[in-house]
Amino acid sequence: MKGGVFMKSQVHSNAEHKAEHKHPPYVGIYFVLLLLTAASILISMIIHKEAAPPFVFTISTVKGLLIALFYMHLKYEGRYIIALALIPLIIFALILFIFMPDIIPYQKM
Amino acid sequence: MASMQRVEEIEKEEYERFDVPFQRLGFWVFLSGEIIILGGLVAAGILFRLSYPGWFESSTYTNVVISSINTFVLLTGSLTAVLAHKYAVDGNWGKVQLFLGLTALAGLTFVGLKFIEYSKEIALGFVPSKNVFWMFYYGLTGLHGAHVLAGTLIIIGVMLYIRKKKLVEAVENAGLYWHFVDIVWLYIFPLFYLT
Repeated sequence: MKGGVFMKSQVHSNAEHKAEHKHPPYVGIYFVLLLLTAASILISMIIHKEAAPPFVFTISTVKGLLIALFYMHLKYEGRYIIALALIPLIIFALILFIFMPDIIPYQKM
Repeated sequence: MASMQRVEEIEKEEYERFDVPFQRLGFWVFLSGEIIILGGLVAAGILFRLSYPGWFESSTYTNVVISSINTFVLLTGSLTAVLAHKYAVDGNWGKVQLFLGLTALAGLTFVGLKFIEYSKEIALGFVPSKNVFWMFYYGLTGLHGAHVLAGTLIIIGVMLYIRKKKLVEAVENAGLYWHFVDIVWLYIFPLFYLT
């Protein structure tokens, strides 16, 4: 997180750590996560399982974002940590989209 | 003495360049590698979900009740882990121990329930060699389960460590690992149980 000061031992002191933190509403976010989980289970029960993936994976992505931004504090991190989190995710997306054209025609056969 | 001073100067330059504590930066380098490993496997799983015709039929045999309880357990573990970090920042180390203990309990509960789930599935003849779905299922959930167990051991290790040395970074990094494992499960859960 931004705004720290250098320490010889490279260990953030507890006071400095406290100064840079603002606590998000952790318990409120937890209940949102539970609600979204219930929603994805309900969707898979209501909609046919084969049609459910776009909906349930979108909900998973929203939940993942909430955890990454607020529980992992990425919302408050500097550019180096953001880059370390984003680069593998870009690789993850590339794997999906590069191979997708090979997969979809096979599915329609 | 002079060399020690030089080391401190280099550390200061590095810290000013990155504007982040080195422990956190180092831990995120480690997490990046983990995202590649587990993210690649989840991506492969999603691609097979789209291409393999027997996926949907096989997924009807997985246990939605146990996996839903496990989702609740992991999310609760994430809450207790982040609350442990909050109390560490506030200097309330008694509550840090309590919430880390609850997180470790969540980890053990998850692994225990997964073991029950596996034994039921194996008893019904759903073994990894049955088809591509079950191969992916045991491969991905097994690797994830190993990560949950590792996260639980890390949490227990941090609980013992902070009895001697009150270090916020240790609590934070253990929590980061837990949250990462939680996010991976958020994709495994719909992949094998809901779609």
